[in-house]
Amino acid sequence: MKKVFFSLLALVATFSLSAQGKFFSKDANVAFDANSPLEKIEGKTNKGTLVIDAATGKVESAVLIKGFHFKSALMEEHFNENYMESGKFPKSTFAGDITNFSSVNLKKDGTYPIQIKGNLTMHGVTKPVEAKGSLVVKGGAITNGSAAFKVLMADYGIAIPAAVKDKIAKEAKIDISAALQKLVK
Amino acid sequence: MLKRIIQLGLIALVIGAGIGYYMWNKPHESIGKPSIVTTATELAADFGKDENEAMKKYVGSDGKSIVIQVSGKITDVKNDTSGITLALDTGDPINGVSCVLDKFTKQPRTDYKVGEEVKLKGLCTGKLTDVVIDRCVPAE
Repeated sequence: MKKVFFSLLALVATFSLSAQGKFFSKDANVAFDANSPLEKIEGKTNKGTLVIDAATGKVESAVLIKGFHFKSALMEEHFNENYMESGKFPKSTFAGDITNFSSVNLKKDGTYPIQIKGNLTMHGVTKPVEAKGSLVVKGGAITNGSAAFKVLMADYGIAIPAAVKDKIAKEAKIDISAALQKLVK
Repeated sequence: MLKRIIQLGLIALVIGAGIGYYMWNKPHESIGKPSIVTTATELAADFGKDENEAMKKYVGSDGKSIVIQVSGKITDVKNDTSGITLALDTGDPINGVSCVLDKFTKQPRTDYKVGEEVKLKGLCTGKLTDVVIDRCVPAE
């Protein structure tokens, strides 16, 4: 009898642990924005991945560079060939932590502001970055996640030719947002 | 003589501006004839085996796009504000294939159903959780 009780207890414990689990999306919207006052330069993809571990507050994200689309085909070509060199560096990844994850109460519905710290790899260069974002908690699950990064192109070895330096922002904005699902293994 | 030079200069300027304007507004290239014909199962298996080799073969390493045709059975249809994505059966739940319908082309149809066999062509962009084929249009 005691044995049954303990195995039941163990079962319950496993369940409550898995209720924490990981939340993910493979259809995250990622926008790359290097707008300057002279030119609108904005690329978007809806095929980013985002994983948030609700037990640890760890965040991981990845995106395929060739998946970014621009209104102008020429801009898209330049983005791929001259700046991001997507043939050589097809992926961009981020891995980090939500530093204020303890302030996110998974038992209480609401939108929580978050701070993120981690490493961003882009154009083959990895640099530490910080970002601000938010998490939406609903019914014990993280249903949405978003974050906004600011990156200096020069930090990632992306050179902007002098001829167009006024048209492209030196600091790009990268926005990511996703509706998350619980990861079922 | 000076008038002539100015005239020629003006003509050159107009032509140059015209070419520049055309280049800037050139449309996104349409998806042409596929150079690789494969199945979702084979594509996923190739990426599962050796991602680097598969990247070279299906995505290309020089920035030029490779049009690939892929066939398979739809296992999931996702239709939201950012577009339509079809997941194809690969026989391996961990290595999926996702096809994003092209937004720059007027799609002949958007009413895809789970279970349907499809043949699509598009540009492979690489692999995250799934192998992603972008800018998909129906292949004949």
